[in-house]
Amino acid sequence: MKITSVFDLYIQRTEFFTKLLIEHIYLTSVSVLIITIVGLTTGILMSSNKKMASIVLTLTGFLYTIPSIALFGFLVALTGIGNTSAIIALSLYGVLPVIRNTYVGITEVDAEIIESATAMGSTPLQLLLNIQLPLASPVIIAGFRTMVIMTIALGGIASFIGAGGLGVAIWRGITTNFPEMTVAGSLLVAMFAIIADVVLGFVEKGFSSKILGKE
Amino acid sequence: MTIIEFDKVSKSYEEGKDVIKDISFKIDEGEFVTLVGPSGCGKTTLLKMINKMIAPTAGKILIRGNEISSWDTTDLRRSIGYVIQQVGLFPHMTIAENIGYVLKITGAQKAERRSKALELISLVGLDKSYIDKYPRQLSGGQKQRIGVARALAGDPDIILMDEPFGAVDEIARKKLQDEFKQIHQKLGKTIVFVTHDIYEALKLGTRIVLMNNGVIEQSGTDTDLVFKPASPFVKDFFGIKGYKALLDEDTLQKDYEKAIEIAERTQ
Repeated sequence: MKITSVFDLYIQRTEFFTKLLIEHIYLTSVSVLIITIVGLTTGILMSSNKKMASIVLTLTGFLYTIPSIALFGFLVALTGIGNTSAIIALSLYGVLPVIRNTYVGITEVDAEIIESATAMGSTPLQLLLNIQLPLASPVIIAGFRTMVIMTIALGGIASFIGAGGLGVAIWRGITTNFPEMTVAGSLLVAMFAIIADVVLGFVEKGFSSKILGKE
Repeated sequence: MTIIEFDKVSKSYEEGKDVIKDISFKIDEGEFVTLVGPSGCGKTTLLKMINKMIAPTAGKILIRGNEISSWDTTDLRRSIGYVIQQVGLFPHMTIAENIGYVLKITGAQKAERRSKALELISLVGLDKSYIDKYPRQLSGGQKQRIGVARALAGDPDIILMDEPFGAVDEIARKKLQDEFKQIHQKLGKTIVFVTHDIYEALKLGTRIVLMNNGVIEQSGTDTDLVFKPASPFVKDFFGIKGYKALLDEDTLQKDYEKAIEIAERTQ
């Protein structure tokens, strides 16, 4: 197999790969959106409820002991083949880093800062929006970044349960003994993940220097 | 006029172990009350009951004539300034935003918050150019000044301070004390000030309250506590340190200069 033949493939099948890439972006974006909403909300609620915190952390930890392929299989039985199952699976996997980092970020804000803000008459909502979330944001964004990369990579195997995305190319390459196709698909997944990582790396740095003053 | 009143107030964290034991006392408007005593005597607990950061187990606390339970917690806290030893400035906000925080949560516009911050930063003796800096760019003493400015922003009539100058170096502390005493005289706020520093307590307080084991041992002016101690504990606590704190520094300085002169002459 020559690497040039992979690029030939991109040129010959541009339309096919573009369609898969768009599907991949769609699948991961929807999952990322769901994860962010659910993860942030859960993390915030946990930070003011110790009991809930330990239950949620145990549950999400347990989720990771299930192999992804088994979870996909399980979801096919429940929600059928296609994008819905894939998005549910991706969301379940990706939610832990966001929940954990939101929770840790908020609970680790210095006690005297919270005490000052409370004693000055902040309502719980004002405390959350003005103090806790901004100060937790570098940690939350670090979790968000991990989650996005993970979701993009895991999105590659969503095609096993009939969802679209670049996994389709990988899977087709494997089943038809066409290694160029597998490499072409994988390479695009990797590129997508790297670009997302670099962009989010800048965002993370920006927040850290704003909040913590690190250059 | 009485502004803060404790009426048979007790506090216990564990059954049968009272940190505050049946304390009754009143603070008048404009007083500068220093709460002093050994660690664990309950002075900080007493202070934090005033703005409902700690709830009493028994007894009544009245602020401006109204019992504390009838006050809306948020409203009460916004009307009382609060300064702690660690300052607790918000690291992600500029100095202007820190000072203007109380105004922000009560809905004031940005321009108003900024002009208030400019006014207060001069009052606490810092240059106006600090207004757009972040807390991490300031020294310990400067941070503490901002802490005081922040507590004054909502124009509260009561200010609570928990060892506010405890973490700054000796020279900066002395300066802060002098300036803060002037600020009190200028603004006439009621101040409740916790410290374990005898010198600080006697220097700043228009009334000094000595606590021990959850009760008030004695309350009075500096000369009352040093020269008319109500119990052996009071006498031991202030002792010669308290006496020294009352000596006039200018006279001492003159004596010292004279002693040097004599020593030079005899050489």
